[in-house]
Amino acid sequence: MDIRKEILAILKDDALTTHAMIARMLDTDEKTVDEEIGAMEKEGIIVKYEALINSEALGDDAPAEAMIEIKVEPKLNFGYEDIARRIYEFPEVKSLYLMSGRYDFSIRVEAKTMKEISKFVWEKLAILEGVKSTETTFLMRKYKENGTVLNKGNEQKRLVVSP
Amino acid sequence: MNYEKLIASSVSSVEPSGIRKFFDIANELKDVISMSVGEPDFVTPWNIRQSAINSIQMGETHYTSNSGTPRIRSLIKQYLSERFNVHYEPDQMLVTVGASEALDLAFRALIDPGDEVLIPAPSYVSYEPSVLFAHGVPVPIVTREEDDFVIRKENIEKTITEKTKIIVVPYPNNPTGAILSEEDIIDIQEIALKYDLIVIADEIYAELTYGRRHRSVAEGFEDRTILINGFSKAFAMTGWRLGYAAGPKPFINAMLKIHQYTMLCAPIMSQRAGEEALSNEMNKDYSQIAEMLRSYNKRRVFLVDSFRRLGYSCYEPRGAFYVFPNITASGLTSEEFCKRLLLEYHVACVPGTAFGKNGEGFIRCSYATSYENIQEAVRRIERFTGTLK
Ligand SMILES: Cc1ncc(COP(=O)(O)O)c(C=O)c1O
Repeated sequence: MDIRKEILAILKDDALTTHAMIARMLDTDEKTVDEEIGAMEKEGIIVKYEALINSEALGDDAPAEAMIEIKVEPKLNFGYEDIARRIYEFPEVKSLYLMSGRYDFSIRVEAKTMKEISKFVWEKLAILEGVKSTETTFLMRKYKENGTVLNKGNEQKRLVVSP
Repeated sequence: MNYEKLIASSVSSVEPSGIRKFFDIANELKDVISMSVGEPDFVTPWNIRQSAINSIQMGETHYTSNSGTPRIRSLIKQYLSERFNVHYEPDQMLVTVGASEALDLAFRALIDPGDEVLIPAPSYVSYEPSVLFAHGVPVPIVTREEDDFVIRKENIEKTITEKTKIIVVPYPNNPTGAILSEEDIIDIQEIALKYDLIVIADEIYAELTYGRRHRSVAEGFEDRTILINGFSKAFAMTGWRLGYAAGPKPFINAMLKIHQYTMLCAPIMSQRAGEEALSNEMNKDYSQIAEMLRSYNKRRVFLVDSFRRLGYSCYEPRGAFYVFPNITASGLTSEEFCKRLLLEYHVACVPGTAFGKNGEGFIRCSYATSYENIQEAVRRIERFTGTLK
């Protein structure tokens, strides 16, 4: 058993799982789990523990979100890293990936309203040095996030008692 | 007409399942948390469901060969060998309507009236009635908490007579969650050789073990073992009714004879789904199963630790999805405990006695339900047991 892999899988499913519980699940002692997790935090494997929020359930407080595909023009002394940094430094940008294919970066942005997102694109993003073009698509509904289905529909029906 | 009198005595003499009684009560109550379910709470993985849909769309709506499709049997061969180091050829296999049918066939194919069949107790509810329907004599081998609910050599030998023909080896065990160690397996194999017994190994929970890999009693013992397994538990496929038996060819042929006249074949769409289940997991290094296991494991640990915290001795199960705590400290019988817990606190568990007389003092709690449900069930059990002290 690869203990790190197992620990990560358990934490990914529920970051609140106690070290004592993890130790019991993996048939090892708490100290080992403490050490492994401590080491993975230090090595930057575990970056942070955060809650998965179903923003739809927030009703009107739910933020607007959009995915934006960005084409950029890296130069010799002004590469992807530099452009990426200029983009991700904006707090509206929640994630940023370098992609293969038709465009270079894919980002997800969040703001109070769609209007604010539009403004962010034309006022801040599109005019950045190195950004050639952007294509914004607004997110309408989230079904699944990080492997978790957000709005579980019909409960499955099982017999209450079976052998 | 006196209908009752007309029913065959081998049938009328068998008591209806003890589990059934609880079903009727639990069904009437509202907001029951059920820990009495013997099937996974997961829905069959989507890739498997999709493959059955495809099969139906392609018009695969006919009988298959009696033994099962060549593809599923060749996948089972590969699966058993790479996963459990157990080696049977496709022509030593029979695909059945659930492990249940495979068990029934094995008993009917081997038992002559009066033949004795050793069955660990407590155990799954079907073995004893199936043996009785086949006109055999079920003989319990008592297993105890102190022995980790494993059949011990001495206890097995005590039960053997000249009439003993078969030993049922059902591990990982329902309801205790016990598994066999390598030494246990060697003991059982030695006894089977010494007394010329046939082993019927029900290993339907083989994929569900925690912290230890399952070892099959059929490993290196293929020529004396009818290995029974299925898709219900490992792939969350209870409703598909798909299982199989693998064993010495003459035994499988005898079972096939019954199967071809009484069942013809397992449903083709289920077999196609089974093919996908096996090939996908083999290709993906069993990752889908691993994910289910992780989720079961957490619930298992939580339940064991909870019962211990409440002052009950609780054997640490290493397999299946059941916890089998000893509730004698409550001062109640298993049946009283379960009945009151159900009627007063709306938590359904199964009394150990449903799995054999020596299940008295224990209850079976299935953790094939969500972690949140289990947490709530434990809160209710805590309130209930609090009133008993
Ligand atoms: C030990 C054991 N064997 C066999 C079965 C039946 O399995 P299947 O659904 O394949 O008929 C069960 C189901 O609960 C079981 O617990």
